[in-house]
This record gives sequence, C-alpha cells and structure tokens, in this order.
Amino acid sequence: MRLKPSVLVLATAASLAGRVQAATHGYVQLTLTNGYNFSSLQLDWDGTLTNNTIYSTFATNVPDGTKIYLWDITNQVFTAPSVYSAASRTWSLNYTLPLGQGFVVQAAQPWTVTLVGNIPEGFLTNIVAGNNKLSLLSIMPPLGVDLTTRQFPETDGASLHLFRSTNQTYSDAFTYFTGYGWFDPNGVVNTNGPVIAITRAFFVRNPGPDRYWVQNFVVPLINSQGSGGSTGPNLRSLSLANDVASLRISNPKTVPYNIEFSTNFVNWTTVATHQTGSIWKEARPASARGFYRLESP
Amino acid sequence: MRAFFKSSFRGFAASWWLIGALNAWAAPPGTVTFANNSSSKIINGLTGAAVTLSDNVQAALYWAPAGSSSFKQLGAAIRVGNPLSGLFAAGTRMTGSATAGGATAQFQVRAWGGGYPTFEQAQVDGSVLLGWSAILLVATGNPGAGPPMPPNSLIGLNTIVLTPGGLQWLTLVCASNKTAVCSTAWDFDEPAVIDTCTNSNVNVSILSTVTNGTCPQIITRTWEASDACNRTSTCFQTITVAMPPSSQIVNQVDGTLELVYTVDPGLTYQLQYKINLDQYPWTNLGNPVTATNATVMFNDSVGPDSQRFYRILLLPVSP
Repeated sequence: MRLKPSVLVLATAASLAGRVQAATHGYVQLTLTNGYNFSSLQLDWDGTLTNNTIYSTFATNVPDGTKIYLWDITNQVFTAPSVYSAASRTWSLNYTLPLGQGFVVQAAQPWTVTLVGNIPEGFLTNIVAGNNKLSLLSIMPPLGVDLTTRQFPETDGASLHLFRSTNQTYSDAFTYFTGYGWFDPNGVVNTNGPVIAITRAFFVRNPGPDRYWVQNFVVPLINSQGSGGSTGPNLRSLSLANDVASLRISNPKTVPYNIEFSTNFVNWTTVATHQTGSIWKEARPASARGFYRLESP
Repeated sequence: MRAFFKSSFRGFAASWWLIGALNAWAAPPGTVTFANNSSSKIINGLTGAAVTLSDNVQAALYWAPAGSSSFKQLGAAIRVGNPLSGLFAAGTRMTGSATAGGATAQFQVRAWGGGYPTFEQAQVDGSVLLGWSAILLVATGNPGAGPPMPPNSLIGLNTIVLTPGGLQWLTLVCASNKTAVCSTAWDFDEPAVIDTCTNSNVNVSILSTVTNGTCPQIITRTWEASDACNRTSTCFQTITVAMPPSSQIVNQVDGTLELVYTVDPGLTYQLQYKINLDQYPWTNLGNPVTATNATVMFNDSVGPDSQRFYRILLLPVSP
C-alpha cells in the first residue's frame, strides 16, 4: 500500500535568525521500501538546520510498526529505534534529525512521504569522525551528485559503504586513495566516487583525524530579488496538499515578482509572472521533487 | 505410560524442528573490507619501492576464527598495484560460518610474486618474493544485525615488505642521483633502510666518498648497512656539481629554431619546452645530449603552436 500523508505542513518560518538565505523552498519525495532504508533529510524545517524531528518530518500518518534508528557516533552503534504506533498515532521517541546526518527507516511495507522545507544554502558543515570511526552522513542540499563534486574531505584509506535497499545489502567498499581518488573494486564508478542519491545516507569509515566536510551551496538567482531583503518579496513557506502546492510570500510593498520552478536547480521554468500577492497556489507538481524561487519580472 | 511416550516424542520432534529452524536462521558470517592504504603499502624489499602491477605480486586475505590457528584464504587473490603502486582494494570479504557477524576474528594479508595461484604454492619456490602481515584481530561487520552493520576495515594493517622466500632481509635504498650548482650549499640524502630482521637495530656507515674534478665535480658516496642478522647492504648516490647551462644564441633559419647553450663537456643535458607558461608541464624535446665541447646546439621546427618556451636541464651523472 502506498500511503500519501493527507496534509504536508511546512515551516511557518517563524524566525530567520541564523538563516543564510530564505529564498528557495521545495519538496522531495522520500521513497521507502520494506526493510531498511538509509535515509537523510535535505530540506530544513525551520531555518536552523538542526530542528527537524521525527514528528515534523514524518508526522503521524505512517505504517504501523515503522522504526527509525539513529547512528550513535560515540559508541558506534545504532540507537534504540523510535517505533510508530498507528493505534495511538505516536512515535515512541521524537528523535532530532539534523541535516547531513543519516538515519535508518525500517518499514514493514513500501511507502512514500513527501518532505517539504527550506533549501539549505551557504557553507554547510558536517563532521566526519576520524580514528577509524564510522559516520552515517549525507549530502546536505537536495542534490544527487558524487562526493568529489560535493567537496568531501580527502582522506587516504577512507572507505565508503552504500546500503542497497532493493537487496538489503551493502555495496562493496569504495576506497579513497590520495593521488588517485575513489576506487571502485567493481570498476563501475569513476574516481569522483559514487553518486549519492537525494535523501540517501552513506556510511564512511575515516582512518585519519576528524575532518570537517564543508559544502558550499547557493541556489542560483538571476535577479536576486527573492533573497529575502527587508522590503522585497520574500518566499516564506511552501505547503503541499494532495492536489495543491501553496506558497506564502511576504511582500509588504507589493513589489511584483515572478515564480520559478525547478526539479534540479539547473533548469528553471517560470510558472507565474507579475505576482504581488502573499499567497500563490498551483496544482501540485507531478515530479518526485521540486523547488521554488522568486525572481524579478 | 503410552500417552507419556507419545507426548515426549512430540516434544523431541518439536525440539529438533526448532534447532533446524535456528540453524536456518543462524546469524550470517562477519564481513571485512579487503583493502590497504598508503600507510600499509606492499613493498618490494629488494628495491624499497612500492610494488607495481608489473611486479606481478598478488595478495590474499586469510581468516581464522578467534582462538584458532587454522587460517583459510577468503576469496580470490588480487593483483597488487591497482590503482596505485603498493595498493589494492578488493571489496567485501565474508568470513566462514565460525565467525558470526559482529564477532572478532583473526585476519592476515599474505602476498607473493612469481605468478603462483596461491601463497602456499609460492612458498615452495623459495626464491620468489613473499611477505605477510601481522595477525590482526578485527571486529567484523554484521550484515544480519538490525540495522545491518557495514564491513570493518583491516585496522592495524602495516606495511608489508616482500623478500625472497619471505626470509629476513636487509636493503639499503639510496636517493636518486642529483645535481647542484657550483659554490652553493648542498648535501647528500640519507639512505633509507628496509630490514626484516627481528632485531631491527641497523648500523649505517659511510663506506667511501669519491670526488672527481672541481667545477664540474662528480662526487659519489657509498653507504653500507649491517644488521643483527649478519646481513649487509650497500648503495651509493652521485652528485653532479656544475655551473648551470646558459643560453647563448637563439636563431631561426628557414623555419628551424637553433638554440645554442654554454655547457660543460662530458655532462648530459635535456632540452624541454612548453606551449603555455601557466598551464602545460615541460615536455622533453628529443633525447638527452652529452656535450662534447663547451657549447651544445638543439634544433626545433617551428610548427603550428603559436608560441613555445624552452629550457635546458643538466642531468645527474650515473657512474
């Protein structure tokens, strides 16, 4: 059975303190198979990058018995799972799910949840634990790219494991060699390393010291009007219902703006022009993910 | 009484069913990643160089359950030197069933040359390069855990030095010959020692230093190493001390560039060029030339490149 959460709530953008930029919002479908799914969040609930929780992400329309595990980097074990009870519509633990850190969803049946939120921008920092510890990580913005492109720290002898949900096993280790790049023993992946799919997490074992993984990401803005200035229009939130996508825009001086939509941050389509209102709606896009931004007409 | 037996038999049968089921659901064996890195390269003990693909050295992973001395090869051997010299990476290996996933097991990397299919066969031939790591105690990955735990790495693996027959060996490795400019400070490079003697105290001494000429000057130093296993090894490094060659004339004649340099007779020089000073590495132009008098001339045809830049290198002497 494929569940569709009836209401997908997004941030009210209560505070922009600490935000790098508040210009772009989007949604991503997290497709889960029965069994273990090594997952991650790449959209931000409230602009802090750290306050996503199980409730804010998965809400309470979830298959009974679904479990979520975090990775305890200190003790190198998975935590006790948070278990969802359909009868009480509660999770046993409301774990925090920070961006860039993976978690494991154990599902009894395939289902899909649509995640909505701010797109993290700026210099996004993750820590890759050293001394042969395992870290469960993900790319922080919603991009499906290889590790070299995302400036993953280069540590000789680091090994990377992807968990294949389809057959519930790990890939062969990809090993990083200084002076070469990532080595795939099966000869399929090039030296840039494997492409990490959107919403997927991976394990990396780092034999060197702790490293910072700094990912610089900015959604390209042509006219930069939507970047959240004090007087210009500012995209505040996106919410998705079953058939409608709604944007809330702060625009106290009724400055005209266009709305653009993309599924990959590269190709943008103008979906509305010369808008001035504070709410804009369209039919919910059929794509598995999508991102909105404001531009000057 | 009859009923008792019947009931007991049912219980017995049920127990066997349960045991069978438990066996069927037994935890899968542990996993480990069979790879090394730059701090655990495989080295040719005769040359001191990291093993390359052309050395035809193979490595295999051996496993034994904790407390056992019976090691067994896990999976196929792999050629050493891919992707870089001294390195290998062969993916995940699964232990035998005696090591359940997540349990600690013993691992050893064994490497050999000579093209033999197994380490054991190579051992019979006492002349081929052999070597092995210390026995590593590694907690394995657990593919049966919930959620599954990834394979562990061979933590603690150190450099493996291959020697003929795997015997104790001493190799003194000198740095490459080099050049220096007259009247400037320079020094010899200390040689490196590779020693597999249990007592690793090695005595390195200067055997001789032979000097010929003034400027140019050829100086060769020979070192000798000796270890507690009564093995000795020598090597040498030669320094060519000379004035740097200088450009004398650059002419273009009928589309051919003539480059004349002032040099020292008897020394060897290499002309190089690049097309863009910022982007391209220097490329050798022709073969090295040994000067027979005080000047040497090189020719280069003016081709389609919009510009070319040249330099001349003094090559170190190899006595």
